[in-house]
Amino acid sequence: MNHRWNFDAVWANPEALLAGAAGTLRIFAICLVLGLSLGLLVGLGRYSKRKRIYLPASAFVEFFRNTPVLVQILWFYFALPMLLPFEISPLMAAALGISLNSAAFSGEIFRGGIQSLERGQWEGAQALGMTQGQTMRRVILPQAIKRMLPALTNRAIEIFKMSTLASAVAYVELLQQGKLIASIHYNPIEAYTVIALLFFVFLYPLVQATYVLERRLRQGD
Amino acid sequence: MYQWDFAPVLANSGMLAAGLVNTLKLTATALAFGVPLGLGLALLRLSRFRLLSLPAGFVVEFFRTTPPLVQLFWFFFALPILISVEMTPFVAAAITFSIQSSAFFAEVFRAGIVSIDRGQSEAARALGMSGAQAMRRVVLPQAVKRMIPAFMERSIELMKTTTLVATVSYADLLFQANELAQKTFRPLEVFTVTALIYFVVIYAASLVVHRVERRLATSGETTVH
Amino acid sequence: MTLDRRAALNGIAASTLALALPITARAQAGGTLDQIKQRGSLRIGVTQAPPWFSKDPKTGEWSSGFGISMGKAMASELGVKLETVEVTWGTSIAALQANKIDIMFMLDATPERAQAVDFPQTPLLYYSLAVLARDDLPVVQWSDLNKPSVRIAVPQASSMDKFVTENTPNATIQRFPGNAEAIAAFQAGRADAVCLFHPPLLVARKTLGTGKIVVPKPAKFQASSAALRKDDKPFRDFVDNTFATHYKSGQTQKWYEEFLTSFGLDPKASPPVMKEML
Repeated sequence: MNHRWNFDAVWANPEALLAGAAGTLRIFAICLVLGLSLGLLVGLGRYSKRKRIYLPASAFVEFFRNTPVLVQILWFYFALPMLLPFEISPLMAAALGISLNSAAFSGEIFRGGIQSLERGQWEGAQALGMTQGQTMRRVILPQAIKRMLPALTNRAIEIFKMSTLASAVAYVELLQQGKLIASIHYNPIEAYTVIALLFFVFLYPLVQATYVLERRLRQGD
Repeated sequence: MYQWDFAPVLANSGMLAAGLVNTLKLTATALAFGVPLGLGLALLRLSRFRLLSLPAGFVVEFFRTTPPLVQLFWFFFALPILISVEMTPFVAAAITFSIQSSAFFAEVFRAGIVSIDRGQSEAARALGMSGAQAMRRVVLPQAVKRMIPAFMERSIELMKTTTLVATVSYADLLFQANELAQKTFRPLEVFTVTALIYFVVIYAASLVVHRVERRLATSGETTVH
Repeated sequence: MTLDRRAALNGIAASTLALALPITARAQAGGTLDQIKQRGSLRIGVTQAPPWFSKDPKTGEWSSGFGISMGKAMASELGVKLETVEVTWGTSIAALQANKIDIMFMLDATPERAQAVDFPQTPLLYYSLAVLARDDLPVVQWSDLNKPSVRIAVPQASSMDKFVTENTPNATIQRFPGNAEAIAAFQAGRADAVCLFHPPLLVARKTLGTGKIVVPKPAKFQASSAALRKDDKPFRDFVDNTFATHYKSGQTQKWYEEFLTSFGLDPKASPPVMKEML
């Protein structure tokens, strides 16, 4: 192998890597907020008894869980602009694809969490004179959240990893910067190894923290 | 008002069909290697010897924590320089997804094995079986039955993950869609049809998974907790 | 539920969300020149492909390259800023049609593309199609590459892609999103040759340090151009004039040499981009 090793070129560009990290965090934050809040609506919709709400919510979940995120991102970036009169930036397209996908998955998590609580809770609360809305807000949801937290934190980590898909539409995040460095200095081994390690070093502690969280929650039952 | 025109897409449906075949080929290959590799990693992780369990644990954690697209770029552009081996795009993609999926399968295996009552393996040992025999004849068969739904879900995830190869030069369905969109200048029709093809195939697969889950549930092995 | 309703729901959900995010309304009225003046910027498509376009990793700006120089000159002539939008060769036409960019430099005029976009009459510059091949690969003619054992990397939907697909169909052709990935494939040994025009190959060869650049016979020497939206005569005339002026004054060649020098290449040792200088 006659490769000229060049790790320096990777570290000589801290601005590039920082810009990438900032982009990754930005799209992660956007997709986390959008995905979970839309997911909560979808989850509640799936739990509804009214067909007019239940059916669209179900269609949404089935469609966005069963299509690959990359296909959705490319559709939003290349296809949607043909139909709408305004620009879709790379960030918008990637954020739409990742958020809608996450909303579909987290919607199911929310639905499962609410459904898993025993009927006794409902009846007990109503015996105390609470309305359905109050019961949902003060009794069901807080307990459901405690049960759903592990799955939701897993979702959050998935969203973080999916941020790399935004590089397919040239959004500036960490992998995109890795590709840039590799293409200018012709050092793909060094560039992609560093990017992989950066992701690992950042995510691994978070993953471990979620394991600890899971164990603590289970103990509390 | 946008003028829809699906004719160029239909005229080139052969291209998309070829892409779909390649997607399925890649998914099947990655599964064929990923499952046994995952079992191996799981067993290593459960081993009493730290020399075996720690590296296996590292491999599993690394490939579950790093984004698949980063792994793909590394295997595609970096690995061939390191080991000076010629790899076709298919081989590079197959290696990436075999290892990537094996890390997830390893966790499924491990959770399944651990979930089988300790009493089972102790009883097997009391009957005179060795540790390995107990694993093979008593623990694994029961564990596998419990893990089937998780496996199937993982496989569907894998099929979705293989779309990443469109960003390198393997001609899967999404790659072909890009080609077609760039050839016909009709991205809306092309990507809409492609999304629908993926949806139909993956939705059908997930229906099969639900069927299997229900059968297992009724047979006493529930996976719904 | 039928597929139509699903697709419709998909569309509704998508548009609702899109509307919730900050929007930039596309300028609808007037030709490209009016839109440019209204917006205050000229948007050019860019892709990592030195010597045409190159991004500076430190600043994140597309700061160097022949295309950038030409773009800056055009923008200042129009009295507006220069805006860069990242695309790939293959998606640049869609970007023009979707009004994401106003012009894409370095796109060669082909009959297929001419159905979707317009090209000015005046060429932008001239170059030869070449390959950067493994040192031990025998290449003198294009037919030497026309074997299944030869793996050629090209950017998807570029004119290199078109040429290689038509003229060396028996080769194993690998198509990548852009110049950078195609060169990376060659570097990784997964392709025996990467086919680009000679200027990008000069740049690649300099940094890679291995491989030989060959202009296979019969030499494919041709003009490059720029893609514009269809049926926009005022803008097309403007671009025509600009290209003609800079070419005749030698500025085109100068911008190209500037980039080579900044990259550490000797302009005297590299083929020129003006037909007359050969």
